[in-house]
Amino acid sequence: MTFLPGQVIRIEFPAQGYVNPINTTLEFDVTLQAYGTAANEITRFQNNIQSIFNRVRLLYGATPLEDIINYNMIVRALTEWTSTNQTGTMDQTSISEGIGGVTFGSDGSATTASVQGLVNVRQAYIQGCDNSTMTTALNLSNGIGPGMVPNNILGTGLTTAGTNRNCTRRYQVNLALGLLTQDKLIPVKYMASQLAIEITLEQPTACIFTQPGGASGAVPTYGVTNVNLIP
Amino acid sequence: MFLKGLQDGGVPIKFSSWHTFIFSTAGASNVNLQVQERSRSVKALFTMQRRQPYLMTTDSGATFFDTGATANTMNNYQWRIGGRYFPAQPVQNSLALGGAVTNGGCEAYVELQKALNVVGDYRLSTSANVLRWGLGRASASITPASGTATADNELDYVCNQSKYTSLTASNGSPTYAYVSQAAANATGNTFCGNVGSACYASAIDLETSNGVEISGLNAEEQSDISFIANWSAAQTVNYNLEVYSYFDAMIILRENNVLELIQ
Repeated sequence: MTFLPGQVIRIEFPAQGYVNPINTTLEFDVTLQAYGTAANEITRFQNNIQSIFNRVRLLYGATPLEDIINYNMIVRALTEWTSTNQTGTMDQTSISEGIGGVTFGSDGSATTASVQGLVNVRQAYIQGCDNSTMTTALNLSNGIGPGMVPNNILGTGLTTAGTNRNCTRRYQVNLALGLLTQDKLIPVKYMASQLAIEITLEQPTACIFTQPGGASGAVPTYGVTNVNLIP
Repeated sequence: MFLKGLQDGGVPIKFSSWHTFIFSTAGASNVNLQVQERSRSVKALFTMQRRQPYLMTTDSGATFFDTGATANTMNNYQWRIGGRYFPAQPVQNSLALGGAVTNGGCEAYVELQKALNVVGDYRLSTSANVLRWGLGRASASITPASGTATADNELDYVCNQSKYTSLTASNGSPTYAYVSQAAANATGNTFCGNVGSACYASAIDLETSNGVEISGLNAEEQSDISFIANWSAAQTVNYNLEVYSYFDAMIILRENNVLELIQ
């Protein structure tokens, strides 16, 4: 099943046993789709992949226990204020949470003449579409894009807007809901109504960053597939 | 034990969550926002200014110190709750009272540390730094790779900061530059700079403990929460002020499958 911007992902907890909230994570695949017609553009997600979650609700039956509007803004702010430093380095948060700033890297050239400089971690290493092209001799002013990061795979159920215009990556995150960040076990077996999480996906304008260059056609967007809650 | 707990008054699970309140700056240089928070224990409040509507060519997660004309600053902010002021004196963000030169916002940053319960704890190095905190608009707009012209720090590491202007020229505003200078900025570029998007917040800590207990401000009884802020120039209309309230809540699971929410 594929979820597109503006749609709601609903995950229901099983009504049996106990949930260990600290170890409960949400796993999902995200496909980033670049402009329909490429021309020196770059496209990436904003810092922390949870930037694609606009609103997150925790429901007990029909009663909202938590309803966090602008959830992605809160997570983003906490990422900048309390997460690890992402300037000139990258760390374990780049693996599963899509957090990255700048570090040293290649201009994307596959030749031995590759030049090193500051590159955006999310763009060049986590998930991004970079079709910038080198127009003059190799130097820091003219990097050639690394293309689709990390691959060209199209998420299940998504349709492509062009040739090689997509990249997909799997993420696994701890949701910043209060009930899932406290350490007591949640006894769902004793709850009459089912506990559920509803996630409203953000619009592309609020979670994707792009420099269009000369690109045109369909604007960048994304899709979410293979959603699993892993205890 | 657990079943006995259910029968003897219920099993409590304490947690903390967030409320969101969104206001327009209305292009003013002074604001007094009435925050309709009614939680019984408010741990902290955070106000952030963001671009609205969002643009794909800018970082919508950027939170700004000042969106007035270049060479200006946020002067100060303070919270008024139930007739009392928090902190007792306004948090000063300008070098001179009412002046137009930023002092770097260190007082505001310490207030944020208090709200996050991390004052003086530098074991964890974060991405917040002097390039992203407490800076006003740049001395000139830049337009990256056919994107949006902006003087705000909202381009997600596209630029580096080349210098500060002189006080006489532009009150020490930052000057941003591209790493890329190719083809009149029409061409994208792999390389980037060291300036992450702005990440300023006007925060206040309202707890009387270190965050472990329920000891926040009772907004149910001490109603009226106001955010008062002053800038040295009118803020840009297309930006919102968003207030985020971090509050304590508790669910109590009782026998016969009864669940009670207290917040």
